[in-house]
Amino acid sequence: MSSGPYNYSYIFKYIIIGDMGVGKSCLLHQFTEKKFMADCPHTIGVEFGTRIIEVSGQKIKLQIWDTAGQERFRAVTRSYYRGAAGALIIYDITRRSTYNHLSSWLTDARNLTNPNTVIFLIGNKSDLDAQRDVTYDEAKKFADENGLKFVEASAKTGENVEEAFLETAKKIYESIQDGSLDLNAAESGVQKKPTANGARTLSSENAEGRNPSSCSC
Amino acid sequence: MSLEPDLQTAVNGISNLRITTDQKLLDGLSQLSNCASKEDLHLSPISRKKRRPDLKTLIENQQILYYKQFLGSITEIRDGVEHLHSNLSDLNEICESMSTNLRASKQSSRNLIDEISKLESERKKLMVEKNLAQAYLNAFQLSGEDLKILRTTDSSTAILNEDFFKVFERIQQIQTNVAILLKVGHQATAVEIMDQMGLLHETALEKIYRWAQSRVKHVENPELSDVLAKSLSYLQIRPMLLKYVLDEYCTHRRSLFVRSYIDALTGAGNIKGIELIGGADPARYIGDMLAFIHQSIPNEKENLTILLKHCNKIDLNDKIVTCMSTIMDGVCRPLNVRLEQTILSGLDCPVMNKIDMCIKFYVETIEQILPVSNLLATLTELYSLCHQTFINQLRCQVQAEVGEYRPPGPDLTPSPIIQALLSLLGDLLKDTLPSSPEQAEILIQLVTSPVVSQINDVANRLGSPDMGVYLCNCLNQINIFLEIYPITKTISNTLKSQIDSQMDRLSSEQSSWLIAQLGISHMYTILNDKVETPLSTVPGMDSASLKIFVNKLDSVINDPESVLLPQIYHLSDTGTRKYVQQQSFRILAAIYRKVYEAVINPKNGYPSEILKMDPKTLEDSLCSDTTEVDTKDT
Repeated sequence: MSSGPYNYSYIFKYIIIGDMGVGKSCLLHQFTEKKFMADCPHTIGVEFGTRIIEVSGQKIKLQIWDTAGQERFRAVTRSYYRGAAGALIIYDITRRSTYNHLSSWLTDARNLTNPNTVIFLIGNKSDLDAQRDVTYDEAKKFADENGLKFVEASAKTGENVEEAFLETAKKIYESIQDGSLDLNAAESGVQKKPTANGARTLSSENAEGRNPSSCSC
Repeated sequence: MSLEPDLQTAVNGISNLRITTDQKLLDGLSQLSNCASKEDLHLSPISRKKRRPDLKTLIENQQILYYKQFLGSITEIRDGVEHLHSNLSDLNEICESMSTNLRASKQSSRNLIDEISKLESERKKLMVEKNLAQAYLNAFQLSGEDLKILRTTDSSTAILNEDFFKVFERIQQIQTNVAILLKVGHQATAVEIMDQMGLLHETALEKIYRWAQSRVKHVENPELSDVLAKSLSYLQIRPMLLKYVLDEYCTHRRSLFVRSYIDALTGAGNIKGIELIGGADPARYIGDMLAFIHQSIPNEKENLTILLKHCNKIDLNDKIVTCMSTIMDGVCRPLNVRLEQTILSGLDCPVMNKIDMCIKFYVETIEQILPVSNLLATLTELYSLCHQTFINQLRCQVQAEVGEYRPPGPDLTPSPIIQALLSLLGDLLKDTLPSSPEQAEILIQLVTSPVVSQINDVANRLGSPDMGVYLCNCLNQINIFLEIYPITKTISNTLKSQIDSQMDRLSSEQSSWLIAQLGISHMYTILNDKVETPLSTVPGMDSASLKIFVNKLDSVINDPESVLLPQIYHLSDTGTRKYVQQQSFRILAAIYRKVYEAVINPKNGYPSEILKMDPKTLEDSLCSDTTEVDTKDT
């Protein structure tokens, strides 16, 4: 059973946000498929990716919602922040405007997620150092001032991509360990998986007793 | 002397006797010594002489004794030999009987060997038969062990183990074998086995089905998921059973999903529910609800994919989508109630527009994932409800605003309602335009056409120049607003042509007004009449009249604004105002050219120098700054 499909202890929900064209979908693709996707089309609404990782010996499944950066989807994508355990805010180091919009993304992330959500700032396209428009130090300062984790990564070369996703999971896992993240809260963004005939089985049997339509309106 | 030699000889004889060496002699002597007693030694020689025969007798007696003894011994020996003989005869007899026995046993051994070889061949034959029987059993029957496994497994078994599936596969194998058997002939046996196996097969399937049905809801349990997937793959041969299991699963997941949806709405734990947050912002409320549903789909899909991963005889994708639809359909009712309530709660047009866009987005999203589902049907229905409501509401609002007749003020400026409606339209377009240009066009049409028709309506009740000015002002305002949006070309063009025709109308109004102001209408008539008499003699065309005309013309050149229709001043767009003015001046210039040509014609008898300015100069001075209008004109 060690390699079974449900062989993980937790599910963490992530969202990826940031301006259009900063490489959100490419980062996700690099992380889930370990491949660079050239000519990535614009995301429509939201897309979904998943991967199982390991943190401190615990298998964790990441459910990642990749949002569209276009302004016109802002109303739709905002609804996906709800219950995210991790939020990755992406900007493009070769385009200052994407960096300048960070505070607006950060405001959204703070307002629409819960206080324990781990927010990670990623400067993408670090392979294009020659066209750099935002210095590392400047972004680092912004991240420090706002209490964010920060790396520069490249979806093309894969540099730091793995690290960013894993770091975020590690921080979430720490919050679980020290008790600051309440797993019972529906919107914590974390689900604990039962090992065998555990809690979920029980609760689901209770559910049968409840008539779903009786509480539906 | 005779004695003497005898004795001599005797003594010599005796001395010559080698007594010590001749054992026989020694023995004889010792024997003889026993015959004479001690007294005998003292016998006188006469007595000795006398006693000589005695000795002889003695010796003879001795000899006889010896013979008798010998005879006795011989008799004994003879007896012994006779005894021996009889013994040997016995022995011989025994040996002979033994030999007979041996011969007999030899015969019987030979018989035994024959027997053994016969049995051996028998055994071999039996072995072959046994192997055949075993092979037959293997091919066509379950072992006791198998039957036991089959019998002891039921739905209360914690987990269907490998052995059970092996038994099941054996049953299937036997069924295949029987099919071959049937082909090669053994009908009766084959049919019998087939019946038997059919029964067992059904039993086993039934057991798998019962087990799977009772456990299927625990697919997320890592210990069960693999076995469940396997069970379902076996159930494929009975699509109905597979369907029942999946139905059970879907019903269970469906109720779980509805519950989690309600939890998300009302808030579970210390987290605010969607309904609480959404109270202030209906568009977000609906967006959050739909996003929650959308986000639940991957998990359901994963579960189903795992559950059905071994199923290779069905259209997997189709099955998964069908099941997902069934599961997701659970929320249709609560979702429908909430959305309908929100949609019909009389929200502002901009909010309705947002909701409209949001539902439309999810209709498109869900259509890709669950193309045949109640959820999609519900959403589509809600979309059309929302869209209808929104469009009606917008139409009503616009109608209400433009409905009543409000005459323009004396300054002929557009009514503030137009501005209000345009800014409403602006709000709507901000949300609509990026995602749906078609919808944006509909909205523009919806707002502008009633406004335009109302403007026309109002304008029609106005006097001619007022109408033109008012129309130009209003339509211009709309057009300026629309120019920001690239998609409004057709509407904008229609408006523009309307404006142009109004401008032409205003131009002609202005021209008539100008001509009237200058009092030259009769001149124009006379010139066109082609009279034969010299024109200087015609009243109204005489030199004095021309002088008055020239004076008036001078004042126009000095102050071109003075001859404008009062309404023209109210044209809010300076470009339009200039254009109208220039148009009238151009007509004036054309008339002047005609007058000028008549005056310089000697046939008409005018005094020279009565018209100092040539027509070109006049035109230049009046229409000098008309470049922009000219380009517009062309």
